Amino acid sequence: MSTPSVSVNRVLKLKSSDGEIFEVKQTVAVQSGVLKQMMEDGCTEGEIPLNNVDSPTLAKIIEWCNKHHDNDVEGRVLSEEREKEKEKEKAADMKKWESEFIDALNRDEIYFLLTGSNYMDIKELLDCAAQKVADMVKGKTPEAIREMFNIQSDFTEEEEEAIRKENQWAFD
Amino acid sequence: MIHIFLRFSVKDLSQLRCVCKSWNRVITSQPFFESLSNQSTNTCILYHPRFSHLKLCLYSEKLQSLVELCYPPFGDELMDFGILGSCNGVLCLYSNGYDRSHIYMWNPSSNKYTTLPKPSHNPRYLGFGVNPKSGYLDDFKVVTIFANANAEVYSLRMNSWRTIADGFLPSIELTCRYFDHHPVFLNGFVHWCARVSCYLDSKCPWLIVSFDFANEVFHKILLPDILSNDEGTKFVNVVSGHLCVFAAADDGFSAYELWVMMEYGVVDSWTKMCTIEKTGAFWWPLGFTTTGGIVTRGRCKHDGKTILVYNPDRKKFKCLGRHHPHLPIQVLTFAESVIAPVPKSVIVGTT
Repeated sequence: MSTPSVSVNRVLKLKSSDGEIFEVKQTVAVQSGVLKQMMEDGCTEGEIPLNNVDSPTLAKIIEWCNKHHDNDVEGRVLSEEREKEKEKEKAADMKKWESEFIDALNRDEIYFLLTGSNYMDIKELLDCAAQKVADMVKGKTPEAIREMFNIQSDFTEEEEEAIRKENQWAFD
Repeated sequence: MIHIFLRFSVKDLSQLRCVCKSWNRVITSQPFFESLSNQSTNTCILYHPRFSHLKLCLYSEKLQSLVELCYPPFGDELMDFGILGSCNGVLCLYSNGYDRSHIYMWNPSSNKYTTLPKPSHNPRYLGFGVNPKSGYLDDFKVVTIFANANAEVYSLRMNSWRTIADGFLPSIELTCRYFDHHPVFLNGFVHWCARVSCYLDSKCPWLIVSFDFANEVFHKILLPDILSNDEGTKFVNVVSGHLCVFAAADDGFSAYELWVMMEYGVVDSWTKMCTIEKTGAFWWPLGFTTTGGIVTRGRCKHDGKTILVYNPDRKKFKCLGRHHPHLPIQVLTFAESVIAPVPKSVIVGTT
């Protein structure tokens, strides 16, 4: 029998692409659009295989979700004004935590986090990782970007010259 | 990938196009283009040809003020510019004097432009748009109708004019040569207000004429009887993706009514949305802001400003800027893009 309601104590068993099992509270897992949908459909019995996410990435994703969940839950009985102040403080702390979290990752880890959060549909994490990649790319020349991502230019010489010419204004 | 690319300016994106083919393909694709224009709150353009000096302004909804845009590189070549339209980040400008054969397509973000070859005759009416069916975001076209009712269409990708075999519709006269108003583009069609040709002493019914840029044919769109038989002036426009008409309520211009065609092409779906009473402060409507405010000509009592924004929900005017009453002003929506309006532009994305 499946119960569509989310209960605090129930856990989901997530299986990474390399076969490791992670236990996550349902209340934490709702941050993933995919898991939320599965819970609503009542098909979260047993292990849930996440074939596109490896265990180091899944660990990172769960760390992110746990942190954001804790932040939402703690302290709910403050006066209204105090609460607003506290909210602001908490938001600032969270921003700091997020940037430390993302800055600690190397390029490949960010890439896997990006694909993982996209696959699991975790919007805030996806936004955060996408912004990080954007910041890494900003202000770099096409050559530097190719080197950074290990991209081989597949333009022919003529094409490269033509597309450079068309977009020359942006380099001036 | 789109999640990341959406965080860049048009200038940054133009640099990123040079990295590799797949990046170029994503950045110039229709889905990416649509996401980008949805997020870059399509700002309005106002246009002030100040005694041969062209001035383009963006209206910032956030700042509630006007921001000046760059001056077109060909701006000194001509006097009396008109904006024919705005499409995929590209503006089409033309000489709005007796000679209308000077036509330009220009991307103000990159300052890239093309001077069109001259059509075979001096255009009487013009329309600008993009063919949505070719799969190319830069398949821009201009249609022109001559005094003899022949018509030609220019394609940027071909960089040439072609005669439209069937010519213009018989017994129809376009009316879009009013001071502040221009034809409007929607869903692959450009639209003009028009009247059935008739003798001056009888009432000539109003209608809308459209030109289909994909199939290169003209169509008629009928108005409800109450509008088509009323003498009052009419201007066609687009609000939130719907074709609409501003109709002067009577010959005395005591008010303007806004009618919207809720379902494109369905005559029964024309709906009257609001009426703006003419007061000292309001003269006539020009267009829309991205949040549905109506930009109008008028006069603010306290500071003499002549561009106002009317909020139809609150029925209130807000003063916006100053403009010479004897010079035209145009209001269009515009979103920045990386699309270069040049013939056979290299490797442009397909849908």
